[in-house]
Amino acid sequence: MAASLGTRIRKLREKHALTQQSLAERAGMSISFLSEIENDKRNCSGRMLLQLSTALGTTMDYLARGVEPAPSTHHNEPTSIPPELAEAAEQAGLSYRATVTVHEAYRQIVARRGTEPDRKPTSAEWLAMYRALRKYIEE
Amino acid sequence: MSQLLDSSDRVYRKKLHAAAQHMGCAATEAAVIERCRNQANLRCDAIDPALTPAERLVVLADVASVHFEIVRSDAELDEVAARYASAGELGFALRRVRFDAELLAAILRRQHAGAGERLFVALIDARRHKDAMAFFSQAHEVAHPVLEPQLAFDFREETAKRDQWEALVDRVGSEMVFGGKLWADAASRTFRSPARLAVQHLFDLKNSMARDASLTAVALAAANHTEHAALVVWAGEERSKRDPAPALRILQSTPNGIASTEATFIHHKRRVPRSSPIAISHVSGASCEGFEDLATWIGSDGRPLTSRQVWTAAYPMRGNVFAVIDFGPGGSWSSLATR
Repeated sequence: MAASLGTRIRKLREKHALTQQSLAERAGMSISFLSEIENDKRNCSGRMLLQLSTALGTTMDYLARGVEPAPSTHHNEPTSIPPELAEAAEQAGLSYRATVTVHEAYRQIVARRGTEPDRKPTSAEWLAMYRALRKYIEE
Repeated sequence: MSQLLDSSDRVYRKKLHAAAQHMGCAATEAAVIERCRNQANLRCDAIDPALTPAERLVVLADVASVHFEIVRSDAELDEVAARYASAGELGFALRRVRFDAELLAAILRRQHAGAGERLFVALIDARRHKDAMAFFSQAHEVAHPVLEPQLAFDFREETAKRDQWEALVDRVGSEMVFGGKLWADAASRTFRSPARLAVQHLFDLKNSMARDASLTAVALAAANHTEHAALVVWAGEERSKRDPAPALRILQSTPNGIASTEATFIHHKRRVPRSSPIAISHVSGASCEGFEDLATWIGSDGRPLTSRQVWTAAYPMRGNVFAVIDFGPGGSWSSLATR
């Protein structure tokens, strides 16, 4: 049987190690109200659902219908290492895994807001990016 | 250079076409904006038809599966970058240094999203002077996944006019967040004719609807609900190449939708005449409103702007002057002003 709204709320609450009281406080509702929703004894208005989804870091679509956001196809696309990164990797003696990780981290930022020009990083900039990530890559 | 411009224009058209195709509308800016606005209204009205812009932002972030991390100090920025990096999401740590420059926000697509977790995380830099732009940065970041559902565009193409797309994302974000009946009614009341707009009305609008938004964002969003051309401007003391004496000049001038369509604008660095409410506000340090004739605005080449009666509402802020110039019905308040 498919999970209910109440089950999804409870599972996410437990995943975030929240008590009913702390989630109720975050979502601006009473514990008894939350308890009834978790036990599928009450319906949830749109506004309540929004308060719960925001408090749990999920979406209304997920809570109400179990719909996961569609993952992007972007990361299934074949990636090629830019020549500037390949040059930096060779200079610094980076492993293939470290090089790919830096490239993936760069691709992970899909949009940004600011006045800096949008251009391909130089090999020195790739190297600086590797240094910023080194401790996480080597962990 | 022309090759570069052609290339960036192609990229822009490609993105616009892809967005329109996904939304099932014509591949024009107007059609895409309208579709985004309608979709946003539909989703927000389903929760409550009387949401404020701040509340709409929460709904739209949910719909677009965007989680916000808003940082107000260096320590908070470091903590967020490290927390996501430790969870295998390295994008913010990689860009950490860029935030110390002019980067306002960045959106990351989670690679390790767990069940029910939002797919995107937008890091909003609200440190120091960037705080004023934080609300609008959130609206902007919510608009990105709406316009680019797959977010599969290669943002790393070298383009000279990339800002053309970002300007559209700005507009869509503004229209989606500053929308709905509650906002439309309040914004229309603010610009209600006959011309009596004062900056205090915009402060009231901001405080009641979107306290965290900047005055510029609120004024522009409200101006988009009037049927008049209007400019939201900042003026301050500045020199110009032709006229090196420091004088009160236009620092920034942003047109509303109608002014943009009609190509109504005042150039950056145009000198503000002493008779303008903007100059009076600057000298007196108090708000000032009134009619003025744009023919009194003389450029450094000695040429005046085309004569038009406009209503100017000005307010001094941090040594500069914030103002809204309302061109009135049909592009001039002349009939009313001469009564």
